[in-house]
Amino acid sequence: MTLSIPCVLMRAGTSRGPFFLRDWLPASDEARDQALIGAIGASDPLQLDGLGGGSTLNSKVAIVSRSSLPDCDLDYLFAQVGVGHQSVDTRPNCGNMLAGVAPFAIDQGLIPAQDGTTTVRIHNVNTGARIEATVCTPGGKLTFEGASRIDGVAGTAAPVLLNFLDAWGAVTGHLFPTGQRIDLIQGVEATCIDAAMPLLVMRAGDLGLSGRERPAELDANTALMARIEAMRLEAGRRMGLGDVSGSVVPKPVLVSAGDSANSITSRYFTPHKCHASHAVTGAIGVSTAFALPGTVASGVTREPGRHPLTVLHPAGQIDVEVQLQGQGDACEVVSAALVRTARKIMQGVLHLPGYVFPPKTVDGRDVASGGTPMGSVFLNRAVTIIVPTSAGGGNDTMARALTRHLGQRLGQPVVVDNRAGANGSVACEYVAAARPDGHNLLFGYIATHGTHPALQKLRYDPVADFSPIGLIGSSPTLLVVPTELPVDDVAGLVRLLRASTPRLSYASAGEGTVPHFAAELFQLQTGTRLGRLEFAGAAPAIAEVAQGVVQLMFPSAFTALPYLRSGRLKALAVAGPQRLSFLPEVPTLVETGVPGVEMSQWYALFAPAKTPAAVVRQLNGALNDALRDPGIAARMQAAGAHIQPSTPGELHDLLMAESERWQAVVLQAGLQPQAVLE
Amino acid sequence: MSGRVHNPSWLDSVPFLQDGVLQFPVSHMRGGTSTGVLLWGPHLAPFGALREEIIRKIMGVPEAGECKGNKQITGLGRGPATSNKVFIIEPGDGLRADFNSTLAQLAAEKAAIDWSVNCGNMSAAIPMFLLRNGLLRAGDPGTEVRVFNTNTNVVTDCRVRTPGGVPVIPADTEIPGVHGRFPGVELSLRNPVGAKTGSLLPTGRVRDVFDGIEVSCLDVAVPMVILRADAVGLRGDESVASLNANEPLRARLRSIWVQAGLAMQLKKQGVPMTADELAASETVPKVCLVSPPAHGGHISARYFTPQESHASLAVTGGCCLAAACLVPGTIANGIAEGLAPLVAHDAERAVAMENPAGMLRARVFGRQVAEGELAFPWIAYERNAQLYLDGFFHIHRPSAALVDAMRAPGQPDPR
Repeated sequence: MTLSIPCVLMRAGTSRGPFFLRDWLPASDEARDQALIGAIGASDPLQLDGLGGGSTLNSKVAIVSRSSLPDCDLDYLFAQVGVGHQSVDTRPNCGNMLAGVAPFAIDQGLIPAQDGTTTVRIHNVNTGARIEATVCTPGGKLTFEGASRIDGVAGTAAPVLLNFLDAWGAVTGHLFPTGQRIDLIQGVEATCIDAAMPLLVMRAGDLGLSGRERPAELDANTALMARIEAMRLEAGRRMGLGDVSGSVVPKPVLVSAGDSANSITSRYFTPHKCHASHAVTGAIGVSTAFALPGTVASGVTREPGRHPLTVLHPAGQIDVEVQLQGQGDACEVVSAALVRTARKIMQGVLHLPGYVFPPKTVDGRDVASGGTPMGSVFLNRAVTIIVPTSAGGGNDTMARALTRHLGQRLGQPVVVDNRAGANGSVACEYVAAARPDGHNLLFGYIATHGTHPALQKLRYDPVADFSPIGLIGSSPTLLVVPTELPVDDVAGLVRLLRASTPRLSYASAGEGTVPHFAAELFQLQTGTRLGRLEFAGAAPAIAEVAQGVVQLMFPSAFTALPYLRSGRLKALAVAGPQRLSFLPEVPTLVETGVPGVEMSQWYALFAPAKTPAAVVRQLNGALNDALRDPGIAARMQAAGAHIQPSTPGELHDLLMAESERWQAVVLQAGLQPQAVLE
Repeated sequence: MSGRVHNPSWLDSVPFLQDGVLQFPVSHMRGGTSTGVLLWGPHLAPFGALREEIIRKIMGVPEAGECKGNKQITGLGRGPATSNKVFIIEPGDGLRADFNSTLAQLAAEKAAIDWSVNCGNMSAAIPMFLLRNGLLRAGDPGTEVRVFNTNTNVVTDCRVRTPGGVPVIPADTEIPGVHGRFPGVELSLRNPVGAKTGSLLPTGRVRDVFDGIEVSCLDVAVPMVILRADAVGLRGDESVASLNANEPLRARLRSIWVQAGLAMQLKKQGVPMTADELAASETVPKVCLVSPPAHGGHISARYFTPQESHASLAVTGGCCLAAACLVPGTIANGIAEGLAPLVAHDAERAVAMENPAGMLRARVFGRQVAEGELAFPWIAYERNAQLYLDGFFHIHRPSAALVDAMRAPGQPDPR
């Protein structure tokens, strides 16, 4: 059983991982982390229960939203998910996943694409850094196709330029902290530069090297390493960094000619060891020194504009696009952007393992049902059952039937409070936000905790925001029409629906309710088209059908039975797996040749999430005791509902199954909240 | 009430071209301890031989030849062979099976696709794929579906629980090597005997001797060479890493499986395999080192694919070992403890096999047909399955041939 959320898988730089819009994930940080643990499968070193590949490289997640900062477009939160332990770390940063952020946001419609390129300002929430990302959007359309190549990725793709806005003089406050572009340090010409990272840049030739040495060779040259360190200490002092003997900056860099006018070879020290490849931040400083005149690294004189430059390192290359303005000595670097690439691999729905959102309070298996002592040590005032629909409807009737019996068993009065509105969301949000002490309960049902959440994003989470108490029962769904409608069976109804102009209509009890879903599925299966009339609950909806104002409805048997008994409505079919004992002559829809509309309404009690286990256990015991009362059972069955007691764990499992089932139905039937509103 | 159903909405999710990107419907799933992708055959069928390109791109393996160190960051594969499985599912003939499955076994660093093997682990994903996409009607309380594997010509019966006829399998089954409880699937291999060679004992004997070591060669679901761990100087409880690091052992086993493969007359595409082919084979025969049980099972096993020691015990290999335990006179039969022999009528024997990941259990149905002759109508094992992600995979830079195939008459219009 799983919770399903939208997900885009991307290859970004040399990483692969899921990208989420912040809204796709649970709202609280705790629940969000749980979702990420499930998405990646953090629990296990092989990560077989998730998308991770058993390595930290593929256990990275990007979370993107519109920025909270006025000068940025996007917030990017990077999360490193554990491999073999259930952890989520948002302290580190990942420049690889960063490359996917702007394309993802444009693709998801968060940022409009311009013609040519689109530049997006990203706030990296982990570090506070701001980055400008430029993405190819020819003709105002995002493309992943292009000619850029990065190390570790086969083939070419569209470039994503990453310009770190806080790079210039980040540490010392000046691009050239010594005030000049070349200093003579211990007899060797050097450039001290602070772009993304403070560097001490030297010509390899000035130290008797070719500049193409392997890192191990350089590390083994102790005389060289000592000389470089002595120069680094002096450079640190001159750059205003003080005594850097205990600091890892500035970093020494040895440069030499590249293999073209636009490339330069570099050996980067960390600072006491040569890097096996090259730090990305160091490449920005090296290419800046390379692009500007008057440094030890300066190359050919360059015109104002954009220049694609390459830093060659022992393991490959890093491409940097440098933008210059001004000529000669007035030449300045406007930006130095890293060239990365990214590609969308897949868009779909991610299904989280059930274990990431277990029942909040109890593990269904060890819940004792029944045997609860009279009175309560936890409840000290009246218990309110919030009903999400109007008084007089099926939910309300059922809740009121329970109050007296529940009250006796809990030793506190139990009252019903109807809070209809927004298709049940008002009541759900109210209970989700209530104090989790057992005094405020929700009468939840298939619409609030199954179908409606599958149809659209709500401000409550049917699983995470509630502690399940237990099931009450279920009621089959019927297809009913006014008695005077001139049809006697489903085939006749379908003929009538096809022949009628204007269209006939059905009654919906609210968006995302069973009467709505069932009617949509019925149209899909029969190829008919119906108008839809919306009512605030099943009670007013069925009353209008009985008046003949609306021509058909899929109510619960509980709602329909009084009208069937009074002869104002007739039932044409049962939208369930079998005929009903109290309506033996009514066939199932499947029997009439219409599969795929099987929907049974269920009803259950919920408390707010984090209600203590002992309280949940007591409420469950009281509920199940009440349901065992012969009077209740008789009343419910006479009204067309089955009693169905359960443990909290079983109710939780049902929620998970329902979530999956209805999301699948919504996906397959193409149901959309706005589409059905017409 | 179970059986195949026609679901227009899933079939509507056809591949389509958008801005030069071929978007292909996929279900990224786990079956048992294997991971990979399930594809709907009718989506692939129009592409003919070009399907290999689609499969390679979906998994992120090289387009041609080899690429050492490929990390599959452009696709859904994740390194080891057990995480590089693509199942193509299509309607069956309705008589032999409800659906056909065809496995494409990929390798992270290679373009070549192995079409000769089935995967008993990944098969566990099939019922969930079918139910979820509305291709199979759920029964109450359970659903059964027969799947014919075209790679090996073996029928697997899959049973899942679908209470209430709802097409959702309860997530209540745990298996060694996977964290958490997921929808359980019981798979039974029907008539698994002689899958590759046509006979239970392809050499005609219960024991053979190669390089002075006694072995048993059996073909149940997969051909396998079984020998005692102590015959090659091992205890039998060694870690997978130490076995893989033991070069002399692997060389010794290679010599044995090459001779055994020749004696079993193993074939590749109908042609007998040569000693060189067997020495380089990544698939058959399997090798299994057995030792007495130590953790409450009936036998303990260390399983080789054959080039590498397996992290657990592949289910097809497990089925073969379980059957071997019940064949009098085999090495496995001599080591196994606590198993009742088969009798003249069909009987079930539950065989528990200890392996590096835990315990693999198989239910063997068999009977003694005549003296020295056994029949195994089916062997069942339990796995669980998981759907990670379903949606459209983006195939960037499809070849010109692929684009032409998309645009060919009779193709669904690009949306």
